[in-house]
Amino acid sequence: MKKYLVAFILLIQAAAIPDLAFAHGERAQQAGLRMRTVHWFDTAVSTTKLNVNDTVVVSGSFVPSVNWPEHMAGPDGTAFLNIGVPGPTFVRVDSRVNGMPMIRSTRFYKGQTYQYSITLKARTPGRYHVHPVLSVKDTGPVIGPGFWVEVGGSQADFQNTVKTMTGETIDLETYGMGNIAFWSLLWFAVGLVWFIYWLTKCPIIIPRYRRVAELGDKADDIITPTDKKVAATLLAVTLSLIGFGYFWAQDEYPITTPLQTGIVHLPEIDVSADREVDVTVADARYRIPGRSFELTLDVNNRSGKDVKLGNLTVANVRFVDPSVIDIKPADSHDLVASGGLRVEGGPIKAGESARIKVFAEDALWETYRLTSLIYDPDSRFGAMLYFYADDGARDYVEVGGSMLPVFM
Amino acid sequence: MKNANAVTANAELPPAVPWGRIGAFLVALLALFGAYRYYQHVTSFTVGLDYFEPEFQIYWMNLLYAQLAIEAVVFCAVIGYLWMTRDRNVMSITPQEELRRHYVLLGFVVVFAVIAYLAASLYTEADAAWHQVTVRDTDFTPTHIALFYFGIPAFIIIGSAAFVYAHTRLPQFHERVSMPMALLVAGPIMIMPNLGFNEWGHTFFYAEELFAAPVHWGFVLLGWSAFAAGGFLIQIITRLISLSKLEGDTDVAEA
Amino acid sequence: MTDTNEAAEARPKARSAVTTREQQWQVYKNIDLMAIPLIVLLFAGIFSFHFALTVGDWDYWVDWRDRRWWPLVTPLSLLVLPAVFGYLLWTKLRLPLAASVALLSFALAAWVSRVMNFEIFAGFPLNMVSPSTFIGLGLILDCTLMLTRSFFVTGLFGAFFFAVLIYPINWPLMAPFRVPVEYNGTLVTVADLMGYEYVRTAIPEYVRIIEQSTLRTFGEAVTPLTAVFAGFLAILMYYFWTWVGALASRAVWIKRIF
Repeated sequence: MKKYLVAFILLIQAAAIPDLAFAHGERAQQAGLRMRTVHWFDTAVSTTKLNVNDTVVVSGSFVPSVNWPEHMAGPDGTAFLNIGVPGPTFVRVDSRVNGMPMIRSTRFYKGQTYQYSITLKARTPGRYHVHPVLSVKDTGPVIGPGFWVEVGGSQADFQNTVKTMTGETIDLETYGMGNIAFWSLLWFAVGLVWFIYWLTKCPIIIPRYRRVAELGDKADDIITPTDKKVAATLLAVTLSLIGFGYFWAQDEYPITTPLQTGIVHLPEIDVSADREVDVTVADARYRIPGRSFELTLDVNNRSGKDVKLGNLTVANVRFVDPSVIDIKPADSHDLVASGGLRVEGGPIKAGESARIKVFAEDALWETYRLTSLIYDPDSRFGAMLYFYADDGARDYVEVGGSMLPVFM
Repeated sequence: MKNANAVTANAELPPAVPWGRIGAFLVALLALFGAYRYYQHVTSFTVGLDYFEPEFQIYWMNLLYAQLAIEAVVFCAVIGYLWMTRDRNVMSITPQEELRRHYVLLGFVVVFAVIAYLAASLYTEADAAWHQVTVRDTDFTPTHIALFYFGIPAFIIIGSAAFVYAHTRLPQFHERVSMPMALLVAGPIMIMPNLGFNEWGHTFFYAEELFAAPVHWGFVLLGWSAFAAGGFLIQIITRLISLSKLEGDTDVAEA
Repeated sequence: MTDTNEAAEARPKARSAVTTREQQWQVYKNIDLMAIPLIVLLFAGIFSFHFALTVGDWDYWVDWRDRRWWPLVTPLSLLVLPAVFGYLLWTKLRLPLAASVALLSFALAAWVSRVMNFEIFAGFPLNMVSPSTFIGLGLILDCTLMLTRSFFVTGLFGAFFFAVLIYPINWPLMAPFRVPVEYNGTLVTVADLMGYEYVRTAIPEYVRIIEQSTLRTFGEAVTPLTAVFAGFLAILMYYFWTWVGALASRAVWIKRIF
């Protein structure tokens, strides 16, 4: 036993590694679900190192997938732009979608583009993986790409003041605590008076049990006049205290409102200039032995520029052709497969249509658990394609459909 | 009277409550639960957030496997010991010995109550706090490993031990079963299979982690089995009244 | 299931282990010393578990205590243990303590848990997660039972006011958090703001079950209406759970379980 105890203590000491924190378990979802729910892009954090009380802005865009699985509630019911951090290590001071404050829930429509920004104020020192999250009612959290953010300083310095509409400036960290402590302790004391009154009669269990049994129908005789007086006094004290407390609070806080909730509606933004390429999927296969995703696509370029496919993103994993666009992983957990994308068929000329063949190959299929796509019940995929013109202009288009595994 | 000691039994002094042993056991128990809690505190938000990270396997899954093995061994050892050392002449023990064994049984139940508090309040609400601030990605989250695979098994071990102790050492429990005590012990045991419903429900129809959600009500129902503590207490008290009566005192019926 | 109370009759009666009044008194004291902490601990454990899984978030978070659901759900859940154990402690011991001791034990456990789990472990400020107070409600129930010595009257008045007064007894704790704040052009209360700012990744805003229904403009009397309805249900709940308490207090023996 002693040996286990020592081992246990050693384990505890070994575990006390201060600034290590991981991602949020986004890999647990079925691959198909991750591919076909929300396409996040341009995700960025304004800084990766800050101190307590400083702010960091997480921003980017997302498109709810038009291939959203039928068996899951969609974001056009009720959804909330959330943030994935381990507990209130940050406070969210602002969050917006298409410029609209996102204190409440909203609806997001499939296929539309939304631009968001979330401003966080650092509260607890540590190293955190920060993700934007779209919480969808009856479906759960859909997690966006994450970035490591390191917070220095001391939590003791953290301040969070706000001005109420009654003109008071309050610190949310401690506001109202004195009140809560006073009234809670007061009720504890009153309750204890009653309990202790009965404990003074100890031993109370067996003697009273015997007496009650002996008295039978006349068991109430065991109750003394003092018992009744104490009960009556305490009842009067209790009711008076409740009344007093209520009117005191009404007097102290005359202006109050109910809790606020509801759904807000978002303005649309015009992104038509970024969506001038249409794609249909002619064929989609996943070659299991080579961990290779192969797509045959018919592309129609409506824009006035020649474009090349430079980035294919599935479930937050970006497969990139470095000859078209140079994207490097921002940190150890940034899911970028630089060089993981190969395209046969060349650029698509302005105003023309062409068939291209696309290969997305990387070990990330495995480490990010996307290979489990073959265990999904409907074997469908969703992906976002990003086409680039020479001047850097970008068009994006979602593709999706049936996917066939190749086993041999 | 089969027991030869019976004639002189009343001359013996009544036994004392084994406070020392109960106290020492409780201190050890609190140290164990406290150490576990400390481990949980320092590793949950660091290496416990993502099931698929290798560190999670090292710090949490290994702990899970180790504790499951230890629990199985402890359960078998404790129950096996109590059974192998059972009193074969339980119907003819002295009243002093019977009173002493009642104190021991109550000691078991006090430990049972301490674990009930730790598991059902402290560890359960750690689970509540955790699942509402993080994204759940596995059945084996740090708070689940602590609650369902450490706290509840500890609860089951002590409950079963008390049950076997009563039935092997107390005349009142000999060759019959106290229904309320059986319910008290069955509640925590049934929490384990109900966990299956919970996890299934969370993947099948309920995505959120709202604590009062119907998917969790199976646990409440099993928690209610503790209401049978009343009937059990009456069974013990009536016997203790008989064991502590003076000449002229009457026995009290259970009903 | 076979009730073997007949078999119990056939058992040899226990002989006594004590010979003097002092020895007897010592046994009684020993039982109190073990059973009273036992009862407090069991109350703390079962009540917390029961409350966590039936009320849970409505009481964990300051921004969940609304006018519609919190004052309805909370008293109905709170009444269960006081009624179940009220039957036992009153009919067997004539102790009017079940409600107050259950709620005292629960309050203690709740404070320990909120500090240990929600403040220290999960990191929330304590004012956002501190428990409501219910001890006074337990006193109403126990003192009514003491004064009337009747489960019927205790249900009718005690349980009714138990539920009705849940909002007023907590108003001194809650009122500061209902002060309005203008935030990014939106009206919120201090409580809403805390719920928004202190990130709960797994509790998106829509998960809060608050302020639902269509009666909001019914004379604007949302809280009093809810209180009276809760009071009515509480009467029924009290009777029902007292009956469960009567069932649970039966000293049933069965022959075997295997």
